[in-house]
Amino acid sequence: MRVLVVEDDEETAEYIRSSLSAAGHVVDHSSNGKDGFLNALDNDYDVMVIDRMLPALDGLTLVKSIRGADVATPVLILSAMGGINDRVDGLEAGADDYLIKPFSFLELSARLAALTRRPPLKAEETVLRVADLELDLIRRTVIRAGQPIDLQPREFSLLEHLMRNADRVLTRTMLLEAVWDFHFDPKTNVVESHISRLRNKIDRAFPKALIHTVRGAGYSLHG
Amino acid sequence: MAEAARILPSRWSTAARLSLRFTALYALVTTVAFAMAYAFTDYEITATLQEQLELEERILRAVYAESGLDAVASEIEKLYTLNVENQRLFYLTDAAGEVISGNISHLTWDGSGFYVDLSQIRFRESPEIEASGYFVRAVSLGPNRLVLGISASLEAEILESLAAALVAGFVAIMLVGTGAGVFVGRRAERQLSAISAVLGSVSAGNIALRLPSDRSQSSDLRHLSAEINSTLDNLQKLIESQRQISTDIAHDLKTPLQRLRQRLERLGQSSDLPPETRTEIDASIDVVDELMGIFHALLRISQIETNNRRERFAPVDLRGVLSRIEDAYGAVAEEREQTLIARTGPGPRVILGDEELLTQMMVNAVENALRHCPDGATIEMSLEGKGDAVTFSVADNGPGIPEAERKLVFDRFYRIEKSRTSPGNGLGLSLIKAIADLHRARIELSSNDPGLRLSVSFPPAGTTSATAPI
Repeated sequence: MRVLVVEDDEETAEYIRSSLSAAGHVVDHSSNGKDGFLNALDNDYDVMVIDRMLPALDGLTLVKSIRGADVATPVLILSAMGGINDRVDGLEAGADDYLIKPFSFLELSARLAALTRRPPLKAEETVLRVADLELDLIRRTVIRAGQPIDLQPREFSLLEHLMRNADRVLTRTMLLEAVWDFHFDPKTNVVESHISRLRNKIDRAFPKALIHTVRGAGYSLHG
Repeated sequence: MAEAARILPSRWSTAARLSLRFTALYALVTTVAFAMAYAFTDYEITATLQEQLELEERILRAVYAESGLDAVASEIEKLYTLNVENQRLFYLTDAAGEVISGNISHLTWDGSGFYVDLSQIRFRESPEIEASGYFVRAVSLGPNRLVLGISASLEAEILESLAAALVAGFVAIMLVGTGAGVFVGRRAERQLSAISAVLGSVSAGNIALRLPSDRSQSSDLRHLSAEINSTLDNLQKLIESQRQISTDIAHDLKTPLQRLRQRLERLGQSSDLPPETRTEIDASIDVVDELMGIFHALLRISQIETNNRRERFAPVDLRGVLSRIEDAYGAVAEEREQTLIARTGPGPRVILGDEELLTQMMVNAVENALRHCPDGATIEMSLEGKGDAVTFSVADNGPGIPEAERKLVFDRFYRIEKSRTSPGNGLGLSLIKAIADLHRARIELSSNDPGLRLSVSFPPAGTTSATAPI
């Protein structure tokens, strides 16, 4: 994908650029808000990473300006401010995701991937399928290899989320936010515990595991 | 009097007791003074009347010596004719006891003392008699006996008026004294309790509060207020500089930590690493992440403490939050065969606050319990209370916290000795306290017999202190 990174800190910018390039993406870099704005308008990107604190221009103002210019490219805000309302402010300004520094590259990468996924399922698609696993959104049923599986509501949501993002890595933080609406780092293994339960129901009795642990990053569901 | 004041219920204020003591003192002094005034007046009047009798005696003696008994008799006649309502008493008898002159027909008096009452006297004519008695003086004129008397009624009247005036004065003094005492006492009390309320609020955490300067206070109270305010200024500076220190440290160390992490990550990305090295690098990154977690938590706490964004509060349904937590942590509890129960009771459980922070606070409380309790323990989360005065509690049947340490655990980094080696960084409870303080809720740690009970009590809306600017 084509990524625009608007970041004034050299080391961070370099870190992001080199890691994304190594993963096969094309990266453009602007070190201030004005250049970033012009770049955003001139070129077509799949996703933008914008630092909240830029010289001469506040990152949120930049996002608002970009949105004001009718650019709908997903934006992830990078910020050293993990303040109580900073995330909300960022989302209200038009951003799609908010990541606090310091961050791990895998987290950034997973979130960018989630932002650039294909448009959501068309309205008629009410059944998600991965390999021999079927999830019916209307009937709230799950069937694997013809066998019905009984899931609790939260387990269902978790599986749904994994299936919607099949083949992509979902970090623990992303899952916590998406499935439980928790916006902080828990000390205990909430996600692990639920994945473990889900695995017991979805994978254990079957020859091929669908839920995979991605070392250091999170989880991924794929056939 | 002092004893009387002491048996009063002790919850009477100092002002009331002081006022009462002074009133008792005034009453005592006034009574003594008035009693003395009365006594002196009585003595003076009596003395004056006696003098008058003495003067008359001398005059009549002179008349007797010059002109004999008949002259005295006619003098007396003149006198008692002028006499009104038998205010005067004249009784002249000869050696045999026969009455020669006077307005008395019979007198029973042995000559001792200065006073006879009506029962001892029989008047010749009995018009109105005012007096109840007479001051008398016996005079010997040769073999004859003269008794001069003057009614005590005048004295009685004077003393009566005096007494009335004194009593009225006493009552007035008592009323005014008590009233003034109560008034002044109440005012001082009000001012003192205003000061005390502000100080109480400050020690509860509203470090920015100051005492208002009140023109109506006496100058020493104003002076005291000013001194207290300047002490609070210093205290505030001290506390803020203290907070600033850990924030500054966290801030300054975040960037180098970030760089360290990036380097380690990059190192781990090389493809030709032996597996042990890769494991080491992963473990090192975990340690860096742990450090990051500590700094994040510290900064978070600092932000919450200094950034009072109460105007951004919105209604939060605590029931919903609790239900999400039960849902998420049920699985976690299961892994160690612990039981997690949620109990919310009837009624709405909606308060004004920040949902994200409240969620984090409640999660911290539950995580703490899950982590510190042994396998198989039971942890119960509950929401109780009336209306929006909700209390959130997490109670477990684990090892609990010794009473002596319960106050200290909210300090940053405090760890109870026995749990020093378990995961967690000691900041969980500090964060809980910071969030509770932001919402003006009260935290309490108590024994759950066995185990620990953590309670956070939210105040009902509208009871926040009117003088707090925060």
